[in-house]
Amino acid sequence: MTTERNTPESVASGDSDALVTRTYREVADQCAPEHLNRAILEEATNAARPRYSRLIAWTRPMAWAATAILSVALVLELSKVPTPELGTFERDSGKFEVASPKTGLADDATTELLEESGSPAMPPGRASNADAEAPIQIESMKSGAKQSPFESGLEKRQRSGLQKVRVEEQNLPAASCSEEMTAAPATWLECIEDLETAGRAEEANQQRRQLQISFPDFELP
Amino acid sequence: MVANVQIMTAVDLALSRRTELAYAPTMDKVPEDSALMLRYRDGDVAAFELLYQRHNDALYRYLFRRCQHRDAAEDIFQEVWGKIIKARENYRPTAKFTTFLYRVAHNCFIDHVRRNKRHTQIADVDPDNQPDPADLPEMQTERSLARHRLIEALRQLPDEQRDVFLLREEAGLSLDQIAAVTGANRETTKSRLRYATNKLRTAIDEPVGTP
Repeated sequence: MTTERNTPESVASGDSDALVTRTYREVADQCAPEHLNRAILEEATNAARPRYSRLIAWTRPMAWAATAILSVALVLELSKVPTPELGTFERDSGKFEVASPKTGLADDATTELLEESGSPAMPPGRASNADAEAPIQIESMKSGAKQSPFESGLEKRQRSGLQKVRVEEQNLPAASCSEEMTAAPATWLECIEDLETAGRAEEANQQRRQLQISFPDFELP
Repeated sequence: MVANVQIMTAVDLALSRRTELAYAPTMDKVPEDSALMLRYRDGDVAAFELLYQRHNDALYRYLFRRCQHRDAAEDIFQEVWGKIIKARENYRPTAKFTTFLYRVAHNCFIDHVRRNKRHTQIADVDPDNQPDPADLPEMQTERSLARHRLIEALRQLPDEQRDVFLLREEAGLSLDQIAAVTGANRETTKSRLRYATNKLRTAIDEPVGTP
């Protein structure tokens, strides 16, 4: 037994002792348990199996394609400039025609503002630009629609113009009859009738009350 | 004449080395192991079965000798192969598969020891290596006693030395490969293997009747 001792060179080079190796082999007879073998091979088989069967394998690329198409469609829809048929601008006459019926002072003021901006005094280049960008969305401006994050520069300018009109409406004078007209009851009454004719009934009533206070002897018709 | 003697010596050494390597069948089939692993990565389960059959028993013995406890060895054994299976998708044949496999096993064993601080206490008794009373007549023979003493000496080796010895004997790794698995440098690995071998040799050479 001792004759199988390795040389010092072999041990120094990292080789195991031959006798030790042979003896160890004689006792190294353990094998992996069969139940572990089955479990591990089954696990390996399951891991190598594709996650999705071939029958439903097409659903994943289809889902990706559908998502991409919907995303593109949504972006295009949001970035598209709306084109309502509410109003048109006639460059020749310098007049803006509103298709919707007039609803009051706001309509008048808006029309006036647009007439001013589109008047013949406007530079030709600017008028042509306005013509190219027309028709203009008026209805959303009137109703004070929510500001869209995708609105164009033209829409912003239109909306700021509408806000200016509203401010001017709120700052209208309560009494539009001048002092010359209110000096005499007859001229004052004519002014009141003009206000009624113009549809400014509330202002006319106010002027009528002031007329009675200023001239209590005057009998109103 | 001198040349013939040198040639014969070289042939004998080669044959002796070949006999040793036969115990560790992975040594000369490393490329095939990597190829099998790559085939398994591509979904070839049969390749993994072949790979598993090559290494399962040696790996189990390595873990069994290191843990010195059957249940722990089985747990780690399953954990190691589970990690190999999970690592198939990212497997790159940059190193020999055997080195890769035993590095995973080495790390799993270390993790197991850290999880179970009583590792050294459960290793007191190994029922597989206790002498059966029915075998007592055979135990009287010198070879049986030598085997018994080898197991006892292997059990009493320091963990690092036992690790190096088992990697050498079970996995058939070279010093450099063992160093790569254990994270130690080559000289340390060489020293550990020499100490382990000497202790085991001394235990085997003890005279009959010595406990």
